[in-house]
Amino acid sequence: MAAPKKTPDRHYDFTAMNKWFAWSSLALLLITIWMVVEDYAKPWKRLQAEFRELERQKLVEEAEAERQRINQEEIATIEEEIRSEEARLDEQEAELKELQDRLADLDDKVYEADVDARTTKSHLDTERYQYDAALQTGDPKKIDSALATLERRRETYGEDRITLEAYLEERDMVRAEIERKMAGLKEDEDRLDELRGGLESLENRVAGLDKSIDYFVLNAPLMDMLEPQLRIDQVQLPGLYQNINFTSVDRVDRCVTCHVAAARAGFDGEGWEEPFRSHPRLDLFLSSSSPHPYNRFGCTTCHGGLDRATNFARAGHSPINEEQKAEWKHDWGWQKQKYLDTPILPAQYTEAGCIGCHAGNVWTASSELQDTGRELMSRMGCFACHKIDYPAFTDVPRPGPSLERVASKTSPEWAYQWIEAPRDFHPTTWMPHFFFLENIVGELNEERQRAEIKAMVAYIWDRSEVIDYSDPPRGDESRGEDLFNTIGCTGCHLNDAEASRDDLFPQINRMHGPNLVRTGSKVDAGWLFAWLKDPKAFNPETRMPSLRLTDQEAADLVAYLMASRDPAFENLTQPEVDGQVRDDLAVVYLQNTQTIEQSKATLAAMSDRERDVYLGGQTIRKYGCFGCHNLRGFEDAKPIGVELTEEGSKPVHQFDFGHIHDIPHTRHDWIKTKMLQPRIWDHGKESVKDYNELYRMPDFGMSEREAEAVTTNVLGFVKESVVTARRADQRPESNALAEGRKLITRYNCQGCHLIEDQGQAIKTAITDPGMWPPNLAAQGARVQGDWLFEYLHDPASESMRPWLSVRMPTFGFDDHQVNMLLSYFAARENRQAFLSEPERPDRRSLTVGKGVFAMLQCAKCHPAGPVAPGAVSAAELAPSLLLAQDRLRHDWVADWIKDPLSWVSGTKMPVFFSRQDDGSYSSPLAQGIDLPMWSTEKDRMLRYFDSEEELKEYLADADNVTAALRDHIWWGLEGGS
Amino acid sequence: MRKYRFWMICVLAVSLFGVACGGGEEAAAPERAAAPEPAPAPAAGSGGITGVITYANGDADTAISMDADPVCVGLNAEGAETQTITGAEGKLANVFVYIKSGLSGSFPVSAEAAVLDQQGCMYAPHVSGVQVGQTVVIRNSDPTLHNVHALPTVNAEFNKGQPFQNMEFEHTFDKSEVMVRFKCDVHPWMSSYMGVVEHPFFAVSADDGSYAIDGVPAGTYTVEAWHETLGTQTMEVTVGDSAVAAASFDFAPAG
Amino acid sequence: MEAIKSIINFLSYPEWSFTLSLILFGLAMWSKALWTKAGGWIMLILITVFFGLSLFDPNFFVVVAKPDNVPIVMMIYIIGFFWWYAMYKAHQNDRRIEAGEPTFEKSESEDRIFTWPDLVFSEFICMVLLTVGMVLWSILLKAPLEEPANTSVAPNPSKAPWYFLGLQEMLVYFDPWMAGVVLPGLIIVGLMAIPYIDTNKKGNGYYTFKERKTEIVLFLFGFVILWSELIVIGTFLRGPNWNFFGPYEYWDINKVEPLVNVDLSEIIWIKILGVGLPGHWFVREIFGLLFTAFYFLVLPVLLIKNKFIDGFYQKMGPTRYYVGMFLFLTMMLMPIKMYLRWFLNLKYFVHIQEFFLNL
Repeated sequence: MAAPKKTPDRHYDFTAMNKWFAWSSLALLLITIWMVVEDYAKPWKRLQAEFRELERQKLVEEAEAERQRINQEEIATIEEEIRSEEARLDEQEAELKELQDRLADLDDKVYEADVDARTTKSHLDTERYQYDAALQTGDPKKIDSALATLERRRETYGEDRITLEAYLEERDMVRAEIERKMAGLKEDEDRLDELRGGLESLENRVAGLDKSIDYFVLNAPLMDMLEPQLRIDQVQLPGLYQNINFTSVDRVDRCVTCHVAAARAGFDGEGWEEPFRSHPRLDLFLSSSSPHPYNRFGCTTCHGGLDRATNFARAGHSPINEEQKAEWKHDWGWQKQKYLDTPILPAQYTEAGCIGCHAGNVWTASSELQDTGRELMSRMGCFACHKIDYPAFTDVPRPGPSLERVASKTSPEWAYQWIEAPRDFHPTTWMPHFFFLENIVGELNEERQRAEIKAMVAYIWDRSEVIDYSDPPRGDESRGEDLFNTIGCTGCHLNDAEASRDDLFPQINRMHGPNLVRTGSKVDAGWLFAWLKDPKAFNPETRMPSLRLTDQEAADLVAYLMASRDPAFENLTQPEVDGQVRDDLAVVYLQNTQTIEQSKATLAAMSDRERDVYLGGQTIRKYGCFGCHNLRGFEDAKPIGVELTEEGSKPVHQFDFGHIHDIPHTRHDWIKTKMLQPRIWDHGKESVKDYNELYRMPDFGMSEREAEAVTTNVLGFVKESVVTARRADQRPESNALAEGRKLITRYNCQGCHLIEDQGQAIKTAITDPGMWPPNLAAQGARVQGDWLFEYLHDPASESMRPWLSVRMPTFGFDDHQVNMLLSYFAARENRQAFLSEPERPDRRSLTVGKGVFAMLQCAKCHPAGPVAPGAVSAAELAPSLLLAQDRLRHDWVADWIKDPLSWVSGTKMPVFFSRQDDGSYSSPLAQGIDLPMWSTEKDRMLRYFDSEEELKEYLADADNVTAALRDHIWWGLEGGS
Repeated sequence: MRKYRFWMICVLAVSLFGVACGGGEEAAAPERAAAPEPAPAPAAGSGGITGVITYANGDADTAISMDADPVCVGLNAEGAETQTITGAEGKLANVFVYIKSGLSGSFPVSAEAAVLDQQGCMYAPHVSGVQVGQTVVIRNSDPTLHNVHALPTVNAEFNKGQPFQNMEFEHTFDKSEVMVRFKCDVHPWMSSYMGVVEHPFFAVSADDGSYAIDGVPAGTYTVEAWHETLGTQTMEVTVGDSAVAAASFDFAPAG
Repeated sequence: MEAIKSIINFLSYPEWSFTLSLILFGLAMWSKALWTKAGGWIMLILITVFFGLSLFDPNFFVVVAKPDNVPIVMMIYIIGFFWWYAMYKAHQNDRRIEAGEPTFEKSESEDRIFTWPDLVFSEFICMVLLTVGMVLWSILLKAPLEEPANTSVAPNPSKAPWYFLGLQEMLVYFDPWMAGVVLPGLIIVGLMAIPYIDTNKKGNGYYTFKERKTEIVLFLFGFVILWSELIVIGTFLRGPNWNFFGPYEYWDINKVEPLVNVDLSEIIWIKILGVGLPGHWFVREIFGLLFTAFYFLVLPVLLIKNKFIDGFYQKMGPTRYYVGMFLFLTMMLMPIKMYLRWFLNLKYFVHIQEFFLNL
């Protein structure tokens, strides 16, 4: 029977109301659950849980491998032993029991006796004081009585001590007895533990990662406030700032919340994908023993991004390309972070993050792309127009050749052709294209460009000094070619019309000097001869060194170089330019300081030539040519570009993308695009802008890789966000490092030498490894400051490697520069540059040294005199040891012999002494001495030893042997040869 | 400790939710998670891979001049040859053949040490293989100075001088790498190659060009053959249970 | 379609949309058909169709679907509903009063029901459902929290919270001191003063329109047109750089609008009289000051001449009348100033930088 629909005293139908209530309550319950789930299900939790499972699987696999490794038979044997040992102990159970009872009893007694003794001692102390007090009163009676009490107590204490010691002794005996009886068992158990230890620890770790009940309870919603396994993992980084609202706050990095394995080794093989991979190069980054431990440097310090974010998009991940962007949008809900100034550096630019701390030392170890970019910027001369306030780019001479005497060297027609399109002539040149780029449209603007170039040439020739050179002596072209390829020109120069900079990337040292192709169409032979003989005579500031060429050598080289010609660049003419266009350009400049009427009058008063020269000067000022070239009249001119010191922190919206929309509006895309197409942002504005308002950034013809390398640097030029003390290498000597590295870049030492594991570019030209100039690793520890000082001043004075045809050039360093290089090498090895004279060793050491020298057959590689031709190819030789005393550091020789590989990787010097776990070195000579072939040496050495054992003991110690060898090389060779 | 924490949390959880605890019935302590089921050890299979390495070109090894060290000259009275292209007519020895991919699990390391000898101023063998973690004994059987300069790219470089006859030292490689080159800086003609792999399934072709890899578990693998100057070749091979699969390679000269 | 959109874009520019809304407001208050159930449905359908169709436009969608702006869409519906509901009830009551019947409220007040369960139970269900709705909303539309503020990248447009957008819109027309302090202060004071000014006891406890026409029209003018509409404009139609954008226009950050605003003193002294600006501020601003004095002091007196207003004067007495009139005239300054800005580019009536006094 249905109830009445509506009772008279009810306004609503309560059956319906109840239903409403039921349904709405249910909805509330569901929505509450949804809310909790929504709040709980953070992506990083899923990632952490996933990683836990993966890690567990990995450990299970490792445990399995460990189990296989463990020799089950061995374990069985030990277990059997344990059992029999236990059985034996069981038999002696009664005896053992008695012993243990006695031990317990003795423990009690010891305790009791100890308490007694300590009580007596405290009484004794009191009475000693009372005796003192009595003495103070001076009453003999009191003194006597106190003394008597004290004496009695002292006696009691002595007795107490005797009792106690007796018990202690007995207890130790009983203990030792028990231990002796149990010893066999314990030993077996220890062995078992040792065998199983690795496996057990693995199994424990697996168990720790099992999802037991407490895992579920601890990580349940609402319960996860206590101590969840899935939690935000963060590290605070004092001194490393993030700029927030006018204030710098210490970074708090939470990246490892998702990148769980970043700081842990072992997650980098196949199958480990981000975010679960170990960071590459854990020896350099994140591990606690690396120079950048995670808990001191975190992640965002180098990579950028929002330190506190635990959400993929918020963190500021930057995709490397459109494809990745689409993938991230789909997989992770990636979005561009509009308000984040410092998004994570895209993977290809990661090395930009090094600069913030490392720029002070000029080089950043191991950051190849950034380092190449820095060198590119030095050579392209970015700093010549853009102020870049970092040591590598300050106080650096102008990168281009001086134009103060250019008229002695080439012709104005060639110069016109060159300025118009430098890469047409030298495909690898660093001189950029300023003219006829993409923002120059229309016949008028093209004519203006021609007028400008012509005017610049006119100005340069107007101010240039002219020296007349007589013709050089006749030379032989093929001898010249041999010289070019062998004496070291190729460390800095190419002679290859087909070369492209990109092919040589990142090894750019061979483009330090110009590509010498087409030289014959460019320069005057007389000038070239004079230049090769003494570059500094022509231009005192040049970086070109003298190779100490004889007249004949120079003439041969001139013959060889002048043979390279290209008719397309001979008999050039400069185009005719519309005078009106030229005048219109000049008037614009005149009007900067004069009224319209005045400027017209000034122009009218000028001759045609004067107008060209005037416009040329203004044009040089406009394009900033003086930044790279010495030019008369521009000695104090200020560079024309935007300062780049903090370019990497410039807000994205301040970059002018013009009308370009198909390039992503990010900082790195803007910079890279600018490198590749410097005038692109004028697109669509070419005819709206005034001619002089158009962008002037020249085109360096960069390849993708070059642009990326340069962009990596510019991105790294950020506002300070690290306190000075936290930056790289804050030693007092680091300034010496910076200065030395600048000199090394400036004079291209790495064109020939391997310095800090980089360089030796010449090996692409000289293929025989034996002919390569030496690796300068450990140079500061290796050679004497005095020697290096002399050598750098005059390399001709010494010849360590007489077989080398490559010549160390004379750079004409001044004392200051040489001292900077000395300090640099010393600072790199933490040494003082100069040493005091060593003391002469005793006869024994010299004799042993001589014997060891023979036994180790050092002379097989180190020639101690002239080398018989053909015996060993030059490539296999090592430096003559006759120079050691003058050249090498006494404190280095023994260390070097002991472990050459630790000084110079890849060295041919073999290691004779093996390093032990405790850091000492063992020597094989004690065994070798018994071989019949060394009996003469043995006899000779034995004269200084009492017995054969003593000799062997002496020889077994690597320190003795290497010191003896050093002494022999130092003093013995000198007398012997 | 774990148990304590667990109970603390249980109690807290219970009181938090305000659910009255029933009787004082003790729940059984949570069982310690059973030790993880060991992954089945990859059964040492009973299959194998064999094949012959052929090389059509008949160019022979070249003679080595050992003038630099009179001791070496003395040891090689009848002269010595390089071991680059060697083997019977039309066959190629010193080719390193190994399973490049397709294996899963790990394999016990052979307890037997591999030996690299220096004999008559030559390395013996010229090409060999070892497992990661396997001991390599390097011996100098000559009465002259040799140095063993290993030039790996992933493993650590080493360069040991062995000035005395019958000197030995042991080395183990901890990463797989095909191939590690050894050279002697004193005797520039000496060189040897060693393939370091994770598993025991590799072989070096004999003078008749044949090789055999035993104990291969059934499966499909990529097999690679490596030669020091002729490069590498790969082949897909399916090994059945107790079956011997054939994988022959032909290093025809690039024509 | 594009043509319709561009017409709507054009019409929504403030000078036209404001005029249009004034006309529509007048028509609505005058109309009777609108305040019936059918009228209500038609309005609801029209608004919904407008929003529904407009959502297909990407530019419209971007603005309306922003989580911050969703409440404003809801506000449009809610204000519309309550406005309609009150007017609907009022018109019904007016008819009943005319027919001599008791009002709804009167007849309903005869009934008695129990607080529990009738009232409390229904309230409770409402509470539960409202909670469900709020939680659902908070789950589906995330709170628009962003990264830590970046001082070098200010959001553009920078908008106040939605309830202040009307005030922010006033800043376009008034000196910040006026729009930010004086006028909002007067709004609060004026709202507090209403019970003391409005002594008409009719309409207490029941809906009616006829008996309080002037009061209701004045209040709704202030609330719907000058407050809510400005919020809607500020939310949906003000884009980057606080430039105006039609509902279907793309918010182009580079949009440039000609903007040369002049003061009243400049209009009179330079443009009309053709002489330079006098040096002393008092002489310079004399016309503005005179206008202000006239507007606030003379106009109320002059208006009494009007018979309709005289009726109020008689009812209220001089103090109430003047205070009420002052508040009314202050309110009317807003539309006056808006029109003068749009058509004469007037910046300020009185512009005394010397005292930072601008009107």
